[in-house]
Amino acid sequence: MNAARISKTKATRRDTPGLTILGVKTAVVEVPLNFPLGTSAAIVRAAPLLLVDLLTEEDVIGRTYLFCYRRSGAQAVAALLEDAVDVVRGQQAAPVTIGQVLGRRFALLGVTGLARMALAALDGAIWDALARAADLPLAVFLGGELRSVPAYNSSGLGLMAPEAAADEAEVLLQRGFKAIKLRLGYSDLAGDLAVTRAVRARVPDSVEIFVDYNQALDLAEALRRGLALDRKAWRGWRSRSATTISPGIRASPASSLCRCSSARISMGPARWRRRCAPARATW
Amino acid sequence: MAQALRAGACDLVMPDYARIGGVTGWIQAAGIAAADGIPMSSHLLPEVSAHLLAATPTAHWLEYADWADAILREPLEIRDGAAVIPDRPGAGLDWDVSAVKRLQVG
Repeated sequence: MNAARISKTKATRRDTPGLTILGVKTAVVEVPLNFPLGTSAAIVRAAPLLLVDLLTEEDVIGRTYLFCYRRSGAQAVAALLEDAVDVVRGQQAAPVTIGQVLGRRFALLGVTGLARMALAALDGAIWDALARAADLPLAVFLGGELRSVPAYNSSGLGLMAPEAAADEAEVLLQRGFKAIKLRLGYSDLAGDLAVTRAVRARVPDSVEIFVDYNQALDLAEALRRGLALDRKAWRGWRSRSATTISPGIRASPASSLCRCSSARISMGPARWRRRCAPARATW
Repeated sequence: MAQALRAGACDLVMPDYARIGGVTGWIQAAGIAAADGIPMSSHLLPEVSAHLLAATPTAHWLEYADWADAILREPLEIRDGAAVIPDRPGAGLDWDVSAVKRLQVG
């Protein structure tokens, strides 16, 4: 490589624009659910979402959103996010570095719960901005490719009567879905079994059914119901089974259920806590 | 997540983008899952999660919910039971401004 070529390469690299964090705009919206979700605590009719626009000095906007469970949660995450952006305003939009800086700055508050969600939103918005600046879909920017991603429909199927659940399951399979998710956690095991059996009987055998207890159970009840589902619900059905344990179960009890059940157990999305719950099962 | 896998506490994992640390945390978690050969699914935010799963070596299921359709100009497309990742820059999120105004509470 001759000197002129080397010089040009260096100049190009030096001139490649990074992004610089300028500010953030947020909006809290409550979107109505097409399928209201009955849970053991309440019927959820709207989802509070926090919409995030990260502004950069280069006029590239990084965008993301979060589901915040409650309106107050969305408002609190917005406040924490604005604080975080104040800390890193003027810095290069480098997500790993920004994460380390904010991890130290928020350490005494605790990078958990709402604070963790706020920092995750900032991280996601930065990655989005960088991908937009590169004019690439995020998947490609991260090293993947544009492809179809198999999905299960989790839009509905809250707690409801067995036949209503079966009706809704049929609707949720439209658009070719090959799996759905039931929320369980009825007042007793019989309720869980009745809904599960009603849905299983209504949808094609090829459809996988996941179940989710949304952390409604303590350990003893999780073990009891998980193993009962294992014995009474899916035994006798020919397709494979898989259960998912939700978040917070600590290692040894989760391991117990994992060992005892023929279902496949999955760690759920929330952070670790002492309460546990078999969350999803697939038949 | 690494602790849970070491303890044999689960056969599958399902991190949430907002709880695992955004895109950076997801990619790190995907590395852990890949090292152990553990299938990894997503939790909500399907518009972003579809991109993340496309870059996840042990990608399993996308959890789809239509909740954000109400405020997006181009909602995530589902075709034959699978999410179609849009060929647009970034995660492809573009707000429907009038819907946002109508549904805004804060």
